[in-house]
Amino acid sequence: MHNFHVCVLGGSCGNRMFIIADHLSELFAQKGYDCRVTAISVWECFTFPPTADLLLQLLPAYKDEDVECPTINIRPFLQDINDPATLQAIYSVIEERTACAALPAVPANR
Amino acid sequence: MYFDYCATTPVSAEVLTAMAPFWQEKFGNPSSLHQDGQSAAKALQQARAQVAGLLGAEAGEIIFTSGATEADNLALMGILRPWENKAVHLITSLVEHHAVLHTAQALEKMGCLVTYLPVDSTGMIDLADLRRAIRKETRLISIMHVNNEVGTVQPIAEIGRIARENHVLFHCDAVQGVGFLPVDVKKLGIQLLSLSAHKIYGPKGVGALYVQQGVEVHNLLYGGSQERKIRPGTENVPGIVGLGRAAGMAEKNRTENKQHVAALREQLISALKWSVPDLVVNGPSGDQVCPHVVSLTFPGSVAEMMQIRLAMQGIAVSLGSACNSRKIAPSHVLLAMGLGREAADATIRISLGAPTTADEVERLSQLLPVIASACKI
Repeated sequence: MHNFHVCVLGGSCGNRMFIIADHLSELFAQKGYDCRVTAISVWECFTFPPTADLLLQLLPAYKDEDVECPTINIRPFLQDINDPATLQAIYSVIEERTACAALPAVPANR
Repeated sequence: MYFDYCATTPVSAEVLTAMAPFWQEKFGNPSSLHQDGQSAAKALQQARAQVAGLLGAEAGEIIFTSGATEADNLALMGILRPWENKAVHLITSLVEHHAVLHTAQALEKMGCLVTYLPVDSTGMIDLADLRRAIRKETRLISIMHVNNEVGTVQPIAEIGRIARENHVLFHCDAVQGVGFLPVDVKKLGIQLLSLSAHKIYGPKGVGALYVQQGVEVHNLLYGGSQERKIRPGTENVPGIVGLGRAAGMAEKNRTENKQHVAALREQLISALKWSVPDLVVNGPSGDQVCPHVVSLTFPGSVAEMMQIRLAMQGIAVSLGSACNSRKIAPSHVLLAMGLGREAADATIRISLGAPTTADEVERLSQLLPVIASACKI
């Protein structure tokens, strides 16, 4: 089964991106999502964008077309790590993308 | 291209040349009585005189330290002496460098009373607030000359006068100002002053505390009789020689340096205001700002991402103060000035120096609007 990769992208924010990544891992587990969450600093990867199924950005480093996956601005987490609107946006993408991946392919000549 | 001269400056060739003999040839300990030691001692005396000359002080009033942070600590702790359990009061401001603020907070934990004066939207204290804050326990006022994040020049002469009228000592962190603004401690009524070599094209790891004759500062270190026993420890002779030479050059080049950066500041701001209509220049203007500090808010953009994109182009700028660059918290200076968190997160600091050229400023002014636009949320 596909393991949905969520990447948290941060900057010079110390441990914040790791805290957010850990927190999201817990939330995803509680919701039963089959996700893995990683964190990376944009200082490490600016020249080579990270590959993921969903990129959560604490800094506006990339647009969707730069990384070929959805990107979500998660700067509201800097004030509230449980910001409802941001969490809902993340859940929506995961549910949409993992639901699509789980559906069986429809044969061409049915 | 380097636009972070508030963080540090390159050691000038002249300073480097002056320091060179004191690593291997003239390496003596100034406390030694033999010729090698006395040769080093003589170099210290010369450096002391050079630093004193920059400040309008006497040579014997200069105490060498490891930098301005130590000088700030020595001034505050050494005057207020929290270990004596006496009721003492310090007045400082909300926009001081952390070397003063964190020392003030430590003093509070040790039982000292501290008043943090607020500032207005340009970063300026209100002298009426200062007068109202003074009480019978007030022993020390500590206000910086030039703010390192926005360039605000505090009314030092007026503060000195108020301190004198109320028989309170006045400490001034002059780290950012000495390279560009005249500082005559006698005329300004300053009894203690901190400065740092690496902000005036000298080496890192060395600074000085001016202590007016007659003012007693208690030592924080023990273990020798160097620096009038106020700051014992074998002196960093090469560094101090470098500081002395840098101080001499700062005094000689001060007017020219100020005119140079003032012209570059005008060039930069004029260009950006035309290409970034909603640009905000933080801090005061005219004579109330030291021209080498340019604090710019690009509404809607994320300054940290701008810094990264500029770094990819080989351009070094700062977010607020260098000391804040590893922390997620926005600048305490900007917040004290009334900028909201979003505005503070959209603010970069550009600081100009003697080596900065007009071509570099033009290149920066061309890149900044593009990068700010690319870094909008």
